[in-house]
Amino acid sequence: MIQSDIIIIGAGPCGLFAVFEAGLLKMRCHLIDALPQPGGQCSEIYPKKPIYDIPGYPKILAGELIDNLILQIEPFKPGFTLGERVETIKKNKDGFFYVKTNLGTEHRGKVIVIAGGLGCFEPRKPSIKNLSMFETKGVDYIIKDPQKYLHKKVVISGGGDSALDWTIFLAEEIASEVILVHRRDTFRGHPDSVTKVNELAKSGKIKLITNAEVIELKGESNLQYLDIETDQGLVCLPTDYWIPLFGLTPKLGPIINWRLNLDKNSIVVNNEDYSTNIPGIYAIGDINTYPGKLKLILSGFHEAALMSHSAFKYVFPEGKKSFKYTTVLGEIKGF
Amino acid sequence: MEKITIHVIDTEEKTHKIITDTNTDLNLMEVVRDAGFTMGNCGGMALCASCHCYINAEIKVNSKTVEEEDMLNQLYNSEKKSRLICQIPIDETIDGIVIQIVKD
Repeated sequence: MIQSDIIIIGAGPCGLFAVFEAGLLKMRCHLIDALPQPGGQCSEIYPKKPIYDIPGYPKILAGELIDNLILQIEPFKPGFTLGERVETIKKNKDGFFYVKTNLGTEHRGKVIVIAGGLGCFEPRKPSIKNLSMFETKGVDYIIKDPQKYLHKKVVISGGGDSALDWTIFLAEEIASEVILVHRRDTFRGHPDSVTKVNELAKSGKIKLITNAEVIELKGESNLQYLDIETDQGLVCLPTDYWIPLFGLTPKLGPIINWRLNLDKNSIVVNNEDYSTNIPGIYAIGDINTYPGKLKLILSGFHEAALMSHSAFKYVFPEGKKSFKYTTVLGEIKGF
Repeated sequence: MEKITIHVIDTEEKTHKIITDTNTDLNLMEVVRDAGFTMGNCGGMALCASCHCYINAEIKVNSKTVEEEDMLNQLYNSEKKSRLICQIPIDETIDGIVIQIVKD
């Protein structure tokens, strides 16, 4: 059981900055994020894009902003549980929240802050009727352990960097056979990766099937065959695994089951302190909504500060909060 | 002030009509989003495909950028008629456009 004062769900810029604001008030935080790295969409979607409305920075790359935030919160030694999605939240009679992730990791804390941005990033799933029957039985959307594919036949679908990179990696090191299926006849990933994939195809180490798409999955209990529609007609391929890599898309996910007041895909909060309808649970950043809400990183930073001062009463019910400017505190001492 | 009409077919095949001004410096995604449709997760950088739509052929729209092609190229459901509508500016040339929101 991982113990902290504040469990922050979502390690994007607002979740990260919440660690700083909470830390100034001596509250320890633990961040949980479904993505394998911190930074939310700043890291996942646009790390190389410049942002122009972060106060004090005329221009900063989204990835640099995340790097700076991680540096800024380092003194407060936050914990991280990455690559796991929070499934359930329960409040027990002891006054603590108990949080469980999809991988079974358990957390205990006095306050929960949902800084989930647009929701959990989940793989885009192609619309094939019996797809769900073969999930974990031959269909994988994310490669967690490449050794799983050792000496196996693997079909990868997709035309982006992820599809190209895994094709190269599995073909060179792991799988007995790799086939890359793509709906178009050109790839638009990194030029080096495109060149490498074409070289592998030329040398017969992989098979490329372009202008084609998987339309049906077949198998008894596990995946055994894929029907692939090509411009030459229908092809039936035997395979052990199919890995469709069509990018990630954010979904609200389990949040809808947490009995929070929602408006469309956002959590309704009181904009005095960004508290939700459940005492002890707050929502900050793009995930929340209130009159006049602006979905800006700088708004989320402000929300993190006010939330922390409100959350103090749950973490230290008897404590007296003192507000000091960081200029007065001097160098951040942390924990 | 010039006004144009946009027809939106949602994921349940219902058609909606949006009338908008052309001098607002908005793109098509922003207008459709402001009309209550959920899209524009990345803010309009052609990086998330939440505004992926099929466009009717009768209306000539601007060409795709490399960034838009890159994103469309990754999707399993992209077609020749696919566009990320955050990349289409609002002007009088798209008056009457019919866009169909693609279910993700």
